[in-house]
This record gives sequence, structure tokens and C-alpha cells, in this order.
Amino acid sequence: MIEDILKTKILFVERIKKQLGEEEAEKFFEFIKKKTRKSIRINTIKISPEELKSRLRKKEWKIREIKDFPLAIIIESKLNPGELGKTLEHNLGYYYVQELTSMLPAFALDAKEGESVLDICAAPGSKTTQIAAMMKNKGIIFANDIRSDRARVLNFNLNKCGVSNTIITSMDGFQLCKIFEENNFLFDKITLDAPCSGEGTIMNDLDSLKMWNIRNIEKLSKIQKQMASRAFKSLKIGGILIYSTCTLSPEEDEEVIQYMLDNFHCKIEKTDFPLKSRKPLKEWNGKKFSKEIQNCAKFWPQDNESEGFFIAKIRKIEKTGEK
Amino acid sequence: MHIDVLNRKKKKEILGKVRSIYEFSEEIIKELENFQFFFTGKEKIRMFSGNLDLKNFVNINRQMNVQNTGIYFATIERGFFRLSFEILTIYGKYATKNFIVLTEEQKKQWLQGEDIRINEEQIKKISCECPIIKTLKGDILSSGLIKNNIVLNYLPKEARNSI
Repeated sequence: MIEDILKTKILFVERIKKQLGEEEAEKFFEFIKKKTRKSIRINTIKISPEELKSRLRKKEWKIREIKDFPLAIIIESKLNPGELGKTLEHNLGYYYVQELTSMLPAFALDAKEGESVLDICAAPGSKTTQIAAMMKNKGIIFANDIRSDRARVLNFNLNKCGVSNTIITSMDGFQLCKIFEENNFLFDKITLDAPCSGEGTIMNDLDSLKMWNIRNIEKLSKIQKQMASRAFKSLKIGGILIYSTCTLSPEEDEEVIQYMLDNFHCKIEKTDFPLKSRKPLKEWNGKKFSKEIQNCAKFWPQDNESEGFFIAKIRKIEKTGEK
Repeated sequence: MHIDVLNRKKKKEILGKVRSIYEFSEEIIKELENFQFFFTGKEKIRMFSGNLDLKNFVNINRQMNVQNTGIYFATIERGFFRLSFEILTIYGKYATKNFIVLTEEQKKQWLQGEDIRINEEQIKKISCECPIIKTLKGDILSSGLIKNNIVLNYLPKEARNSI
């Protein structure tokens, strides 16, 4: 099935080969025929990692831990369809079913108790619940999603996970950031998991591949630059914006960060992630990227058997922000 | 979103109920005292642990489409006080009074959404309308409303039929 679609997406295939080289691209195309590994994140608001692991082992589930990432668990047992979402432990909010790489934006954000955090594209709530647990339900989180149906799902998941330090809004992200900026309500940390072409998710979501086209990527790149700019203005000096996408296209990743460097007083900081990442591109289609962009991380699906992701940690270094 | 923040007196009253019904430790009550509580309707109380004064936030709040704030805490319904499933799965384990530990058979019935009959031994320890429902492992499965020897099931639909 996926092979048939790929035959019609010649430009997509070419672009992946251009980024990875023939040999690595082969591994990518081989991997995307499979599904990613099943993984969960322990919700420490309700249970300790030791207790949950012990309970899962008693169920005779084969689980694998990840070095330096005690909240993540890979489920190696073959479970029945839907089983992961039907257990008592899941229904009581002891764990959240989540792709490994999708846990990394919150990991990079490293939110602390007492901080103020804005999660602009928050639904279904995987990041917000992770951030709230890191903050021990202290501080303040604004979790937003433009679509009210998605905001309802977000609300459901936050309740289930016992999140109590959050205000849920359902607005256009631009408008919301503008209101905060106008009221001088600025944040310590902001996470923007931007709407994207989803190239990193095609093994789990064939529609992303079916709908793939270069014009859409160009359009999304423009929106992402606007959203990142607006979010950046809502940061305090010294504040951090985590920009992430689940796509691998340079226009939506490296190019957006280059735009931020060109237009704002910011620096790109490196994060040591607990999963395998690769360096971003140094140039793309004749455009050279700043050296600092090498501090971002790109997660290719074949490296971690999880969805592809791009993560940048952007720090605001001057009051005005804009250059 | 309409937020009617509870004043100090009302908050003390609500937490006083929690303390006297379930005998939570002083430490837990003190933790809860740090949070803000508010009505979103006549009966439902929500709790917010964020460090933002909700009363002073009203100006910004008006400009935003706020869907929800904090977590559902409790209901005061026809005179009886019932802690929410959401709050019980965090704090229910600290209750030292007014909880029912289900037998394996009762647990099966409860998880299927059925009301359960409790025995004399279980009922004599209860002195409130809405005891906390616990499993032998210590998991909190919401609360129930006692009518005679029957406990009416308040486990939310989404938690039923768990495996």
C-alpha cells in the first residue's frame, strides 16, 4: 500500500534521498512500511515509575526502559488491538499512550515548579500532561487549541491525568499570543508544536503521505514562521520557546529557525536528548543555514522506531526581541 | 467561562467537610488550602492549583475563549457532598475513613458499571452518603452513593470495562 503511494510521490522520495543519501534513505523507506513501537509515558501526578513498572510486569507485559528517560516505557509484548488503552492503569490515568519522540518537546522544555508555560497547539494533551507532571501541578499552564472539539479532548485528557494547574483556551494561536502580549502577560516557557505536513508520521498515518505536496509545505512554512514569531513575542527575556514539528521537511524545520535567527534577538540552545537524533541540514536548495541551527535536533523514524520529529530550543536574549 | 471563586470562609467550610468525612491528614488539607476553589454552576466545584489569582485574571479572561480551568473537585448535590473521580484518583488514597474495600467479585461488578450490594461488615464502617471505593490493590474507583445496603455506581463510563 505505502509502496503504491510512494510511486506517485516522486518529489517526496527525491527530497528524502537528498537529505539522507541513498543508503540511509533506503533504511527510512524500509522502516516506514512498519508501524512504530508501542510506548507509554508514566504519569507521575498519580503513580511512581517503580510502582507502574511493577504493575505492568505483574501483567506479564514485556517492557523496556530507556536510559536517562525514566518516564518512558517501550511495550515489547504483543498486545491485543486496543489493549493498551483499555487497562485499569490507563483508565485511572497512571500512564499516557504516547510516541517516544513526541515526549521530547516537553523534555526539552524542562518546565519547573512555579514557572509560567504556554502550550499553543495543545490538543490532545500529551505535552500539557507531561509538562504539568514536571511542574508537579504548580506554576501555571495555558493550554490552547484552535478547534473547540480538540479542546474538549484536551480537557478530557487533562482531567484524566489529574492536571489542576491549567487553563484551557480555544482560540487562534496568533490572537491568543497577542492578548497576552498586550496585557504584558509574558511566559517563562512556550511550546509550539506547529501544524505541519506530518512527514514523520506517515507509517502510522497514511493520509499525511497521500496528501503530501510541495505547495502545502511552502504554505505551512509561512504559517509556522508567523506562529513562531508571534509566540516568541509572548516570552519573557531569557524565556524559552520550544519549536517542534512531526515533519522532516527543511522548509518547516531548519528554515523556520533560520527565519527566527534572522528576525529576532535569540539564540538556539542544544539539548541532550535520551533518544538518537541527527544534526539538521547545513543547507537546503542553495540556502545556507547558520551554524547555530546545528543545535537543533532531528529525529528520523528509523533511528528510534518512533515517529520523526524536529525540535529547536530558542532563547529570547533581549527585551525587544525583534531585530 | 463563569468563575465564582470561593472566599476564605466558604473554602474552609468545603475543606472542613473533606477533613471530617474522609479524615485526610493535616498535610493533605494544608496542601489543598493553598489552592483556589470556585463554582462553575450551582453544584459543581472546581479546584485550581496554578499560581495565578483567578479574581485578578478576570480582565484577560474576558478576552479569551476559556474552556476550562483547573480540575473538577466535588459536587454538592441535594445536600450530600461527593468528591469527583478525578480528584479521588489523586487524593483518595489518603482517606483514612469512609472508604469501602471491594472484594474481587464486587470489583468486577463495579467495573462493569453495576451498583453493588455491600455486607454488614463493610457498611458498619461507613458514616457518610458517598464513601470512597477502593480495590484490594489500593486503586481508587471513584465513590458511590449508599442507599440501604446498595452502593450506586459513580464510576465514569470511560473507566468502566477496564481490563
